[in-house]
Amino acid sequence: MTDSREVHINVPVMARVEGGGALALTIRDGRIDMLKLQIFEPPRLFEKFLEERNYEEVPDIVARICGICPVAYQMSAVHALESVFGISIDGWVRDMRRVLYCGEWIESHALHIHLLAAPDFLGFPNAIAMAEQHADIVRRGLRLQALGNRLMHLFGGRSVHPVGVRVGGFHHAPSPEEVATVVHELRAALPEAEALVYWTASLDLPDDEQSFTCVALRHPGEYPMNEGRLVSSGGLDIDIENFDSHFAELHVRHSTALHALLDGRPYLVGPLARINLNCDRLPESVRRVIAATGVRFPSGNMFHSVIARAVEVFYALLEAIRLLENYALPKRPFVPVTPRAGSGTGCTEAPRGILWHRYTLNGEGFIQSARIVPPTSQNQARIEEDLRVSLESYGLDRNEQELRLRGETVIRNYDPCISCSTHFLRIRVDRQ
Amino acid sequence: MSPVIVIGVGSPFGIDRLGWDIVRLLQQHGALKPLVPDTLTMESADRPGTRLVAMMKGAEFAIIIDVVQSGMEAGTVVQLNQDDIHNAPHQVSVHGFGVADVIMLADKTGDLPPRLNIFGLEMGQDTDWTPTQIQKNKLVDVIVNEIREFLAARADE
Repeated sequence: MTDSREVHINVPVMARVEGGGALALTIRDGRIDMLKLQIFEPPRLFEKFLEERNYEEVPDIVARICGICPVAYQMSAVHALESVFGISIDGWVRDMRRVLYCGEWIESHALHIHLLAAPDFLGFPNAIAMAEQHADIVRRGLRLQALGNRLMHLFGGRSVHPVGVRVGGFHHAPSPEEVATVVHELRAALPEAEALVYWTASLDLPDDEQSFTCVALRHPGEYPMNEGRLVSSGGLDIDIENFDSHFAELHVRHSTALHALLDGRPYLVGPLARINLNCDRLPESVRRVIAATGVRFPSGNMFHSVIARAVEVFYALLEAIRLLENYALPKRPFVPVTPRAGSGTGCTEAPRGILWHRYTLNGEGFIQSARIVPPTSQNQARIEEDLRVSLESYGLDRNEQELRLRGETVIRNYDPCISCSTHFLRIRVDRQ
Repeated sequence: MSPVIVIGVGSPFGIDRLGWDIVRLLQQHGALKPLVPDTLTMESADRPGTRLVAMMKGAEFAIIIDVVQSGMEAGTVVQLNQDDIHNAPHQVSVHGFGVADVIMLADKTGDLPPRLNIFGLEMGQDTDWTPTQIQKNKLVDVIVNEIREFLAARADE
């Protein structure tokens, strides 16, 4: 049956969205005639702020870009700057950076799974309403999030906008006693994290198989965080330096944030893309749990992102324990650096996907130019593509309330780095 | 964990740093210094979100300090309790529903301290409003008295 109605869904302001955003959707004759997701990202201005700043200031400045994933910004930045200065990081610093990143994954994923995504899948308008009937779920989320914050605080000095990172390593090494306490807490949380994987796999997730291209880092010996080559499910395998040869950022009229395309096509970054491309890099103990859930990766169901996040929480706990259980104070928590002129690239796996930085410095170590490509920006085109497919598959003849809720669910499923993304769609429907 | 915790919330910039300023003044207050750390903990938090729950965990009395926008005259000392938060028809701080949401969430999960108050200064509708030192001192005095009364009642129990 052809639906002859014309539906305009306009979301003029996305409340609680960093930088502001909007969604506009028009359905005409049973087809999506227009769909535009707009996200305005103020972090882009940081590229200009960074110019003429000394390299030593960069980790603290870029940490301010995001309150949820500041470590990712710090890690991509320091790796880029270290590549300019010709130093490579290994040993204690390399391991502890990975631990710090584990903290951010745990904190960010736990927040999203329990407080942002779960209400969608359990049929509640928000986490507060959900907490009335599922207090245990909310408590688990808060506990795991707090544990992630503990790890970030351990090496970052504080969990929001941490200040412990410097080019070459860390300003401070925590004492073995502090670390031992945290390791004890991490071990205690393992059963809960494992149960989280099973719980997410048991959710009544929409069955929405789609075809899309995944992009992530890939490392020869570990699940990717700070290092690796850029690979895709379409066969791409390049050095991060060659990002521009395949990826293009472009302005679209309806958004001040740049979209990004891989060889002219939308692509996915984030936990589902990561696990789809790197499941074999997870330890056997994690892969065993995945197998027991019955879910198979690679998966084309975008809603399996929530399971991928849970898997990464479990993995991050195990990885942090592995790296910390034989912790010893280093002679020095950093490698000395000497600034020199040049350009360098860094790309790491933020909770929401690859975060690519490039800096050019003069001989005194002052930033001449900076370029930052955040994951949410890269996912924008993919989110629009997903919305079209998902809503058409869902049924455009449904009422506006149902369409809005499904649209919100689809967008939230990407955990876009727009803080508190729950329930950000205010809707106005014009019928003609 | 000390029985009383004071948390100044907000970003450290502009009017949003009121919580930070008040915590700093409280930390310098002669009547409170002897209580730290066994009886009293005081800290500032840059938009803590759900971390607030963990920060308050184990306390008997939690005091949150923030800028408040509730329709009163700018500079008015505002004291809200848990019921006020639940009944608030609109946001009660410049962080949107952040603090209120977290308090309601913690209430649902049973993780709120037995007593919780939000103290702040009303900012009115003028986003450029800046509190005077007198207004800040008045707020400090109110909080110090609340802590004293709480501890006195606790000692009598």
